[in-house]
Amino acid sequence: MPDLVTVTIDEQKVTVPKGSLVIEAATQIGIDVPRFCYHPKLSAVGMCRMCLGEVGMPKMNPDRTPALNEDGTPQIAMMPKPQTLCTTQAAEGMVVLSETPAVVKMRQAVLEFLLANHPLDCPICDKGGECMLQDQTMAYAQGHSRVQDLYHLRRDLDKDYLLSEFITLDRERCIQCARCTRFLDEVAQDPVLELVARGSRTMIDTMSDPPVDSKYSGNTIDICPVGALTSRAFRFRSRVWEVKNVPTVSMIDGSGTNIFVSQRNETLIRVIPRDNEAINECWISDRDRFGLEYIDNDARLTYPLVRRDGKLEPATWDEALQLVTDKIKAAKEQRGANSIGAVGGPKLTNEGALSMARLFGDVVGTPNVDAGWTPTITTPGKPPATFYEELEGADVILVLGANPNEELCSLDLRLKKAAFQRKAHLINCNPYKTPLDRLARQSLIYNEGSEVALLNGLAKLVHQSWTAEPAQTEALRNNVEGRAGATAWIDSLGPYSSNRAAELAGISEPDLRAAATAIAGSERLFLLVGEDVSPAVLSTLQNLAALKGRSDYLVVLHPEPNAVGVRRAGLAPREGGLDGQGMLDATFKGNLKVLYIAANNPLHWAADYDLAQRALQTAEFVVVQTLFENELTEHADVVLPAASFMEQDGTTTNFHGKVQNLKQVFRPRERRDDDGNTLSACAPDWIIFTKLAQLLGKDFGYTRVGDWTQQFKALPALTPNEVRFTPVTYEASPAVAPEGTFQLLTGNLLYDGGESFPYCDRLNRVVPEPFVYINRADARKLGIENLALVEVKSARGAVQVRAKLGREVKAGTVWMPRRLRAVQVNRIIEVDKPYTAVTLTKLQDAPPKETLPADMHAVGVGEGTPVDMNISTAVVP
Amino acid sequence: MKLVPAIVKGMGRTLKHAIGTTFGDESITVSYPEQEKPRPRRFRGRHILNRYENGLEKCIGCSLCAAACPADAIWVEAAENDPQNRVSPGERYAARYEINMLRCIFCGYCEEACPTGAVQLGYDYKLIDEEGRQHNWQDRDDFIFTKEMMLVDPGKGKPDPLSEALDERLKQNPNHDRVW
Ligand code: SF4
Ligand code: SF4
Ligand code: SF4
Ligand code: FES
Repeated sequence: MPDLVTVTIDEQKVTVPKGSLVIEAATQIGIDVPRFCYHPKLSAVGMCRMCLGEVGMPKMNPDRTPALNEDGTPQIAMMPKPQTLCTTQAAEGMVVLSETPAVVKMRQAVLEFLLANHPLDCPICDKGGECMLQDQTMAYAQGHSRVQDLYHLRRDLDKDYLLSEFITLDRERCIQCARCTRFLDEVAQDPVLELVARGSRTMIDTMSDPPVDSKYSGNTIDICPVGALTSRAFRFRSRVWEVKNVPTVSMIDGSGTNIFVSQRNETLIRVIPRDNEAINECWISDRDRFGLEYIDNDARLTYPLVRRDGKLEPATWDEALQLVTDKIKAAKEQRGANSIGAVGGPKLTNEGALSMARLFGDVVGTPNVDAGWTPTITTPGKPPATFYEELEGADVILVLGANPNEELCSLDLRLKKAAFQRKAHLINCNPYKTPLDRLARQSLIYNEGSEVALLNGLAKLVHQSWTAEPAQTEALRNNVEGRAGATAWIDSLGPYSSNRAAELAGISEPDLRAAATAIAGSERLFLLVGEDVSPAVLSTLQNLAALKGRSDYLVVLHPEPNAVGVRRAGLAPREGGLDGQGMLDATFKGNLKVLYIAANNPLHWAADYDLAQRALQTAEFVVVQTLFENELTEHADVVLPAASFMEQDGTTTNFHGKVQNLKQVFRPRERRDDDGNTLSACAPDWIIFTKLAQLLGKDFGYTRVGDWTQQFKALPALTPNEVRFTPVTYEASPAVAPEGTFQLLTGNLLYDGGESFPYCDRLNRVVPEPFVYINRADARKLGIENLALVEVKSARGAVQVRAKLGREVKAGTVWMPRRLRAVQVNRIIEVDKPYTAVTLTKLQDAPPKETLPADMHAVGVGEGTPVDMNISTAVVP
Repeated sequence: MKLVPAIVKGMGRTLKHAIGTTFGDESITVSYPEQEKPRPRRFRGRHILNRYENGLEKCIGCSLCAAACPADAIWVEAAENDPQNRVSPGERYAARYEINMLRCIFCGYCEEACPTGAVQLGYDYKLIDEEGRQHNWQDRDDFIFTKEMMLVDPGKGKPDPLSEALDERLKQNPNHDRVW
């Protein structure tokens, strides 16, 4: 229990933990102290002076007893000057007056200064209606200004200063509260905005190239208390009070970010965060904010397509579904249910996935069901319900084989908070450098494939530490001794001496030791692991978790939205069934006749592009359920238009297992005739699957999505929480690339130009050109300079991309994003080898240093944008 | 018996006006539609949208009129001005501006809310414009007046100090980006 103090604010008493700010205490009892710069999630700086209040402390007698009035109440000594309540800490007996005439007068003066440069153009300002300055001006401003003709150095600067592809800045509206810079410095840990220049000219500018280079930059728009930072995507599209904000959950990444979708007249106006302390706090990523436009795009499919004489032609739902039913029936009769395969995707809702699993597993009766094309691991057991709260309280966090910055935005922010504010010991293990390394206490850049050796080495060191000093590590020993598999496990650690493990993993031995010491001494150890490491690695991590006696602090990070939900729903191979990869193989070999693909695309996601393409070409009958026509639908015999997650009710599960409600924002997209009559519309996945089941002779009797939700919620968890030890030994031979070749590493990129990007105007513009990271030393040897065009060639094929030099990768390795626009690494990866060796050849010199596009001002005001000091100001009528 | 003088008095007044309007110049009826009565200066007729002297539209698409409208009769969709091809001064203009005349109650709140004096309730009460545009009043949609139907030439608005002050301001600030 923390110490409590009682303060009196405007004659109301409130008790708060010691160290709380007065403004927080006031909020608790419903007193709304005017503020601009204070934000509960940011450090207090006291920059705007709007929250001034009178503060007094109890008087003390010389003998340190409280001085009392005659009636027995304590005497209060008011401070001679007002205090900013956002920086004053509450103290026992403190008395605060937040609305006295003197205070009001001071606020009027503060506003007079804040408005000196302000154009008062609320009617055309996108913040109008949700602007703190507007509200405070209505409450406190006096209607005239003594300073606006004296200090207006910014008032006549150009409006609409384009900070980045997403944000525009109106410098004359800025009140220098530094909320935006503090957010980027403290929360996003991307210090790319700065206050530049001095005095009345102080203003915000970007310090990075590309401008405002942060994946969370859009949040500055929300927290800017005035209309200085506004969204270029939302610009002038609607007034904020005219839209309907529908609460739902973003199915862009695995975080399960809570959002409001603003819609007006069935069009998507903007996406803003919805507070949820258990998931995303009040932040969302730019991908969520600007990347959902694709749902409201005219290219969306609104009617089924059926292939007739080699061409896809529009068809009615009845026709299309009947055709699918007939084909499934025929295949089942002729070759058995095993000749049918179904692959769903993580973009299905829980209900969509469950109805799909029931349709194919129970009604069609095929064991060939999966949720993807490559094997992935899943979290063993169930993460704690208060996942983020406990993560923030962790003292040691080990991240392995994952890059949350490009994969899971809300987790990324939490890890930054844990490392930066809570000072957690972050151990970041990856085969290449990731942005989290900047905050990590230790970053272990290991050789790809040596994860087991690394982790076993760690475990052995931990074990040694408790055998050496038994008294200090009683708890550890108790966790292990007598547990299932413990002895075998300890024996299996034998060969992993710290030296050998460090050598296999390619890291320094002291680093390994330091990590082991941190783990041995940790009170709460969190283990976070990327979804595409091998099951053996997961087992070694389970052993590490078991050392601490917890199994629920080991969580697999799935970048895709509903990866956990679709698997729990049963989209996984049944007894003797094929997985996604196997289905492609079988289709190519002619054993699988009907392939049903929903919300997925093997050409994007399969490990081997060529196999996927050959399989699709040879397949007899392919059904694709999707939002857009794309390269996959070219191979389809029937295309069914699916509704997006914004067009249906339902639930989705995020990466740590939280099931959240989706709410319908739009009607499923329709095609209409000139009179506005609906001709056809797309349909939610669960309806399509339920109908198909009906046609195949099984009526589930579910007419509402809630029926499926109920079924889903009744499902058991995938695996129970279990503390156990399994001996795992290091199998892979150390990777030695043949002379002159490099080991190809791959990873995810958030802005990968993937399927939805072409339909998101702004986001599509920040997708980088395809590139490969090359170690600087390697590049020098090959004579490759930064941004030169190189050919990356494996035994299977070659791609041409730009070289990016840096220390992101170790010597001897290169890194490419898995998918980036048209360049798909799955065209050159050698699936059957432990790793892909590539050669690099320079094709072209780097282009001359590009000038920034015309609409991107990179030069800040501090660098000399002329400011005319003598512009006469027009008189406000 | 007291009634008789009262009736006589009342009939007398009736007779006076009957004679006055028939033979004198006391006429209070006009032969509409050939003749129309003059409207008071603050008459609230059908809406007009004003322009500045240089032809730019005064409306900046701010939707404040729509927010003020108690009948929810106004629909505004704004867009960003192209500096090469301006519709209004400043950054923003109304790409779509519609008033549903079946909903409008002619209260004038929109005029009051407008920060630029763009929308005004004009002197016309016939819901068709001066040229006598033939309207095919068959459908509810026909009563939705568009921006083009309401825009008038510069100087044709109702006299209004705010509107005039802004005219003046635009003259002083020919590069258009600070009027709004
Ligand atoms: S741009 Fe907005 S958030 Fe940033 S300092 Fe200015 S007023 Fe504050
Ligand atoms: S006159 Fe009144 S009812 Fe008519 S549009 Fe204006 S505000 Fe609405
Ligand atoms: S008429 Fe006036 S209030 Fe209405 S949108 Fe135009 S400028 Fe705004
Ligand atoms: S809110 Fe306290 S100084 Fe800004």
